[in-house]
Amino acid sequence: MTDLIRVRRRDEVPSWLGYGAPVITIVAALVVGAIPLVLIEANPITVYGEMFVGSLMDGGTIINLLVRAVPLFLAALAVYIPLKAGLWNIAVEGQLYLGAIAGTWVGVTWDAPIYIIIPAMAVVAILVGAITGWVPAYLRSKYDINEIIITLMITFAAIEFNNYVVRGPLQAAGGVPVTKSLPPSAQLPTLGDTNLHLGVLLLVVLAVAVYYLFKHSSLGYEISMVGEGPMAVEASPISKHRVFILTMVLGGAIACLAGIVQIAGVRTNIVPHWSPQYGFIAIPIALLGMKSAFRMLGASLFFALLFVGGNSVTVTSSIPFSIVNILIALIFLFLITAEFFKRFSVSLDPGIGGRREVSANE
Amino acid sequence: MSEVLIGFLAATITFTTPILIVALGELIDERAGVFNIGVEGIMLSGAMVGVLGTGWFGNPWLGLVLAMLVGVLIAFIHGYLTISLKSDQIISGLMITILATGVTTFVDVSYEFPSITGFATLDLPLVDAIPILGGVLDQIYPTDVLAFLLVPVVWYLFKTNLGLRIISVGDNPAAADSMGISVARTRYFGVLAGGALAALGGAVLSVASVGFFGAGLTSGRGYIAIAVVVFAAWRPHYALTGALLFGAFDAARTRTGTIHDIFEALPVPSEISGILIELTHPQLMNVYPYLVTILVLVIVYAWKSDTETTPPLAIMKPYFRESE
Amino acid sequence: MHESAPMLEMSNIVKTFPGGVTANDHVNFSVAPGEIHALLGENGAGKSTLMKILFGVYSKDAGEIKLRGSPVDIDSPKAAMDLGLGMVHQHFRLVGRLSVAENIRLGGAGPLPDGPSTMARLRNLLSATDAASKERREIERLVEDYGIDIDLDARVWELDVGVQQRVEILKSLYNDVDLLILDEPTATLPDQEKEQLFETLRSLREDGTTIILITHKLTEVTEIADRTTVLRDGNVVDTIPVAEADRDRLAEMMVGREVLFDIHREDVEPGDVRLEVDGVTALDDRGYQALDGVDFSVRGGEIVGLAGVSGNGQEQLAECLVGLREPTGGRIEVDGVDLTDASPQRFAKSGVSYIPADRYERGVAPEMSLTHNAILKNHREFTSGGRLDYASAREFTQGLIDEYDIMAQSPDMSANKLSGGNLQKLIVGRELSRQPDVLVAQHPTRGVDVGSMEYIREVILQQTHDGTGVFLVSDDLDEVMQMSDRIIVIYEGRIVHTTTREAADRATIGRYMMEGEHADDDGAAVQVGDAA
Repeated sequence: MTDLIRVRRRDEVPSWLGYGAPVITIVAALVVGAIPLVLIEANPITVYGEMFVGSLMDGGTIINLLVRAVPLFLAALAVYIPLKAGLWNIAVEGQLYLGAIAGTWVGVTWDAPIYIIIPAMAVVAILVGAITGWVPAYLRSKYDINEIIITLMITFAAIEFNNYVVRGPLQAAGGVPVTKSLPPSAQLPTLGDTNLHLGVLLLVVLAVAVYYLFKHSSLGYEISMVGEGPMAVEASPISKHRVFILTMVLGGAIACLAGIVQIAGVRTNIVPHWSPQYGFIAIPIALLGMKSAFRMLGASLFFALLFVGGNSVTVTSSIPFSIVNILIALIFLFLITAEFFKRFSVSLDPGIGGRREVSANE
Repeated sequence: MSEVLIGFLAATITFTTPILIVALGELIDERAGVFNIGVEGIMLSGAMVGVLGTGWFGNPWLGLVLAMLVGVLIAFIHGYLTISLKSDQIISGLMITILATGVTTFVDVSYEFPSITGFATLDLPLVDAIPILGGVLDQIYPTDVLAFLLVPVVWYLFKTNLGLRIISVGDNPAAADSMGISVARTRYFGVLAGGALAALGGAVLSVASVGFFGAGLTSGRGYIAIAVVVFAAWRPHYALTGALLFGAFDAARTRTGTIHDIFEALPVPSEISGILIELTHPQLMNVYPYLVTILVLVIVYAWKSDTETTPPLAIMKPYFRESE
Repeated sequence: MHESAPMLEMSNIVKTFPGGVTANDHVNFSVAPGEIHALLGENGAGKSTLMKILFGVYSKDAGEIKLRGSPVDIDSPKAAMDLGLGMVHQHFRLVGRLSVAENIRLGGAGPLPDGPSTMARLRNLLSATDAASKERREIERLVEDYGIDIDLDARVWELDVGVQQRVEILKSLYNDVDLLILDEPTATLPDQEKEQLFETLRSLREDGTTIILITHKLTEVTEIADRTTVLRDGNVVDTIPVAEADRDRLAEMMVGREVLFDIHREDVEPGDVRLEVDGVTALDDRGYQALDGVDFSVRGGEIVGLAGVSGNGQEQLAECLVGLREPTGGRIEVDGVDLTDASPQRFAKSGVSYIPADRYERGVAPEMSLTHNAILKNHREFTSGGRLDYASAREFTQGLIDEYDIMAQSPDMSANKLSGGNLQKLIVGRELSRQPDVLVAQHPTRGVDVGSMEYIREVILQQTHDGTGVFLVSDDLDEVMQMSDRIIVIYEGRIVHTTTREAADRATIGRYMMEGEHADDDGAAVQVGDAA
């Protein structure tokens, strides 16, 4: 590492690396992910073929793809917006649960026509999200308390709280840890007989909205500047405090909205641990889509494909679903190494002494 | 009555142990300046390997040792990414957890070893006679004793030269570097030690406490350990307190029937005891420790922030020499 | 002085940093054994760099180092320490959480009692740093021998600066230092502590330790050094025994006489007072007194330049004037409005523009485009209904690019791709386009190429015609003297001298920069310190 290899900090990222990195990352992950497949005597080509291509052939699967992408994309947005300001929102997973609980409570308790109750559920979920976003933002802005730990605690408190809710006040009759189901008037309308629920529109609406936010709005400008130049904005009209609060509140609102959409559009009731870690998987999606909201949508669809494809190979080739988790983690791993290679260039340089002489920026 | 108390204390200790071990490991790691949010994943992996090892070798101690080795290996990945490649510690740690979750679910341990015989509870004839304590000691495992002994060991570590080096690379790596201490090597020690203990904690959970491994066994205990470290202001003896807090909540959770009986026996109107009973619903009990942690964090940071309780000053920052 | 082989010989040392700055330009520097040698120069002269090369922090591009007559290759601080070198840095390398004794032999670093075998290393690592050990007794002995008054078990963060510095010195002593380098040691010391330090240095010298003192303060040189080498702009000016030096000559050697640029300053009729600073006191980031009662004012159309060696409070003063630092006392008024405790946003709204010292950290968001950065101070002007009109922002930015002759492909390129000079021009353009009432400019031409330098100075001068009051902080004395209408000199947080451009005398200003109020003392005869 020291004598043989010469590490230089790059002055700029070569464009092939900048654009190619996401693709290289995914390809590398697939290659390494083939190893466990081989170990259980499965053919990686057929498995990947089934996962990516086969599942797309089935029309019903495309709908499943879109439906799966909803929580992933919204969760990714909930991570992305604060991240643009330099904040980590790891409460997303918990906010999914809390939004689901808040909205379901409204849907199950209140009897009202669909065009009143669904917006009410959404509003309540958003409010809960705003609060759970505000707390860590305020603590970070005012007291410099690291938001990572706080948001992590919120997530776990929420997961456990969810375990309580399914056994407590909202429990359905029958003693099983399930909540009461949402009545049809509180469920999202779907397209004909399919699973395609109204929430899928959010994919488009929010993608456009967030794209607009960062491409054209003044707020998006302020958020980006706070994230990229936290010290430079101190002597400017931009208020770091305001940006911190707003981004976390927005993130929380979107995450909680995603939670209730998932219940009202797909599940209709709540069970313990209903989320297959959407909130955590949202993080690499957000990182992959750092340049624009549409890229993130693309990444969400890709990960949705992983999920849907993963499901189908469980059936067709009896591969355990956890291969999806492994692939996701590998994507993460290669993302990190890609980041490293973007910042530093490595070359083999025998004969140079041990010191790492790195050309610095100004 | 004393039966209940003994049971509660013993359960508290047994629930405390895995968290305590992981917390102590992460404490060392963070003191050296490396934040490893992947301890949840390492704990899971350790839990799985612990069962595997116990099954293969027929000896729980060997199972624990194997788990620790695996923990070191996984922690090495995190260390390499963050120390040598100077990557973001959060992203790397999250990756490890997701990877470990995937792998431990993928490998179906329960197929091979649906359950294993782990440790027998302590059997110390002399101590039996002591009221309460004797009863408690009867119901805990040797690994629990090990965990509690670990506290003074870690405390002592920070009195040795090695411990001081760890503190220095976590607070002021430039100072350590100027004294000729290798920042990278010391940080690696911290990460690897943290990994070994995180895996050990997981293995103790699966081998000693429950006797099997299933997917997601740790249920966030690794993250609790992280909270405990902050709660403890990076001091070993307070880590014990923090872990005990969580352990007590865990133990109380399985004894809510008794608690509810107590509440009902209280001379207060039934609405109030009703509320109290609902507030101590077993599932709800699991929520409180996290809320308490947030509260403690706020108190520690907002009110009482002096140098003794501040986090390691250089944590999460990769170290670059001035000439770099 | 005894005739003997030099303790240290650095020959033809060359060090150039990326960006083209040559910090050491064929420097020859030698130090006799057992002397106290002062390395004198302004900031940017190259003294710190030279010593960092010696101590293994930087690597040299060319040249040779000989210690006690034999060539050595020092590639790390540890290697330097192994050779008997010690360094007390300006920013202490101490771990606040640990005790004095623990810092002195941090983690058992330093010579191992049983030699460097693996077993010995392991034993060392695992042994406690406890009270009864041999090492502890050795530290106690050192403390006694040198008469240093210190509580070995106190936590370092509790100690005040002077004591902390003693800990740094003890670290080197414990490591058997033969050659001790001190980098601006009195920068943060109050007067009595300085005396203490000098006492300690004298007793070290008596013991045979060779000492190199990096400093910009003439009083120190004359008080304690035996010989001094003056560096300027990366070159050695001369090496002379202190007995032969007089302060005027030293000051002249340090600041030189050449005039680099011919700056035409047209006369502008000064207007009303735009900036009033009254008795301002402030602390620096470490809690030490940085400003000790600063008074001055700046009128519209006037340039007031602050001369001083870096580290005497300039940065903190500039920060107070834009709201980035809250003064602990005194008053700051802009156009008659009291802004002493105001936020930076309020200062900006009140018409104060700011060119920061560190353009990459405080000036811009480096990864964002030129357009994003150009509108940082006034983005609301391009906003309507929540929408930011990037098209007109780009036009505005292109306008700046054209007006300030910035070499940029387009307003969309990211800021960190611009060269230092061009980026600075962008920042200057941005700040001036707001037609500020007050401009606070910190080192506006530092690290900037010659062409951009001229341009920036011209533009600032021009701005005064529009009634802006300019406060210029710069460690380039030429720049200050040529551009300012009035010059004030800061020393240890106080304004010690005020003069006008016509009356300014370079040597005098130099004296005040190096000596503070002591420059008033008769400088002709020089007190010689204890002769070697």
